[in-house]
Amino acid sequence: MASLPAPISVAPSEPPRAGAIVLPVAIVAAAIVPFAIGSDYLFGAVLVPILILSLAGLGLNVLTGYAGQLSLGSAAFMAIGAFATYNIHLRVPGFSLLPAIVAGGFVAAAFGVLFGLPSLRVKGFYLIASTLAAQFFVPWLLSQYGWFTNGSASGVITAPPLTLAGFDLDNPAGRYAYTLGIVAVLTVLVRNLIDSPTGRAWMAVRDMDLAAAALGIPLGRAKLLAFAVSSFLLGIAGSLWAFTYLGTVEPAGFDLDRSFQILFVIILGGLGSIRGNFLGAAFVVLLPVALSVIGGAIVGSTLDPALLENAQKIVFGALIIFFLVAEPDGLTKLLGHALRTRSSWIGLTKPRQLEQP
Amino acid sequence: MAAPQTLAPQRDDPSCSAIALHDISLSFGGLDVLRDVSLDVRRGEIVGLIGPNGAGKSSLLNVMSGFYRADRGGVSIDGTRLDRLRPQRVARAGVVRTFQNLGLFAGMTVLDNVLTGHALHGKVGWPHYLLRTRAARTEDRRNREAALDALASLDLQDHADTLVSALPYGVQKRVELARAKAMTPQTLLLDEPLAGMNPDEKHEMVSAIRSARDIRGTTVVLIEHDIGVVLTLADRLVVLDRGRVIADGPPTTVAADSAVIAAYLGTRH
Repeated sequence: MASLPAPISVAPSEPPRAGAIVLPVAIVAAAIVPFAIGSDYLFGAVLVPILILSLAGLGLNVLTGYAGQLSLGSAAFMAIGAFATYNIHLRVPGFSLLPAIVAGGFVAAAFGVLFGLPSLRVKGFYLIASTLAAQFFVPWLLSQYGWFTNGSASGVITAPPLTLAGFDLDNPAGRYAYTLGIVAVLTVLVRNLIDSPTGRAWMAVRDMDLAAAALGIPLGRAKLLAFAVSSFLLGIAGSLWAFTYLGTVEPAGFDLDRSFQILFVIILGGLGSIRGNFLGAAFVVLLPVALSVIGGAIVGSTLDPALLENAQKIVFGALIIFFLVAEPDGLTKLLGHALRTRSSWIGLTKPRQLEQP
Repeated sequence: MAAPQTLAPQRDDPSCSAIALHDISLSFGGLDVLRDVSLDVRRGEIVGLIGPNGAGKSSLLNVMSGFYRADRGGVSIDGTRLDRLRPQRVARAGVVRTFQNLGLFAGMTVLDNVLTGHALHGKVGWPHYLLRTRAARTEDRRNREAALDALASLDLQDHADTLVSALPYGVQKRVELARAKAMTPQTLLLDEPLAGMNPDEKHEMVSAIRSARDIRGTTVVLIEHDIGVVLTLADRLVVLDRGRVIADGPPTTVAADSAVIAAYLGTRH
């Protein structure tokens, strides 16, 4: 394109993007630091659920934060992933756990596309109704027919022992390593996709669908792909929840409360942010721990669990309102401010001239 | 690329037609918005579309870009009549529009907005981008170069990493034109590109529009209320009033037309 003889001083190479450096560092740190500290409690009760909820948050963020399609059905797709993985592993010869988890993700993706079809015609609150239908239908279906739980009378299925290529990973550190590997790979892949024409098409649909159409973006295809990718990630998260975190799974574990929990992860962490999912998930997992420690210190050694649970709900509600009002961009924005301020103190980066108002 | 072609009004030669409307009628709930509008925009032409408020100018642009479906009549692009006109198909046929109240993606940076436009010509599928294959990296690098070129042509390179919503209105208007130019259109449909701009910004915008035509031979149809600008920029003026074309011709002739003066410019004594 022969342009004006304008003074083109723009560097033709791509500008350094923060995520390009932060993500590998974070992955390496997550692969080393916990093993140096290493307690079973840290691995099993803190880090594994944080990673899994981060992955689920990433799934919902693809759909809601990037593509702008509202959903309250996250847990349904997690349930589909978990039960598909269980049944594929159980019934299809030759499927070890890892391929079964991936296959479970694809099954969830297929259902995501199915429940995403209404997005071709409706948006906003009306779309919530469709995803809510998935949320109520899927756990009902899974508990209705014994085939899904292999005839388990209680509807609870027990996970097979965790092994990978002959290595026994059936201990807290092993589960963490297994979960981290899957979550790290998927996070890198999603980052690649977000920073590509596909991710920009999603954001275009989110910000102004008419303008997106005028740019030749096929709206329906972009939305359904977002549903597929989102549900794939949620399906994998569901499998991990069952197989590396709880060790058991029942349909009731994937109820509307779980969907809300994942919504909180992305609202607290930041919509349209990859890092935010990890911050939000850490917050959601650590807050109850912190509350019980603080409550224990104030009230005494034993705190009524029912009281604790109520206190958690109150604190959560207050925080959600705070974030929606004061910092709609979530924890990731707060962290960004903090980092930028600090690095400008020590002269690493110049403060950006024009920031978001 | 077609050379700048502002003369030679060979109306019957379809190869010279960039976009044409044939007897377009459109009504909303019994209200006639457009009545038997025919218009043939030739390649490399800058056509100014003027008329009082409610004359149907934006509706006409919406029909041309596939956002409204006319009740009667048809649209041809490059001499080919298209029956089911959809926005995506129009964009792929090389006809790119801007919006009166901005069609930018507010949550994205200036560069990402322009990249989104340029992606229209992308040939590498998303699985390649997922895995960052060599093909994806090469296409991405070219996209960025083209997008930065388009930004530089409107003097926007300093804003590349700024969120669109943080920019003043006049700059956002320029970003939208830069995005449209990055789509390498055959035809640009601009809905009030100069609205809300100060004289300096208008001047810059006018030269950007003119250079698109002079350098790339881009056809331009623009709606604009600033008559002074339209008279200097357009090769041809089309005047709409109450859904009908009441004048069509060279700017000086049209501006002197008594019907036009009565309908739009106001009667002078």
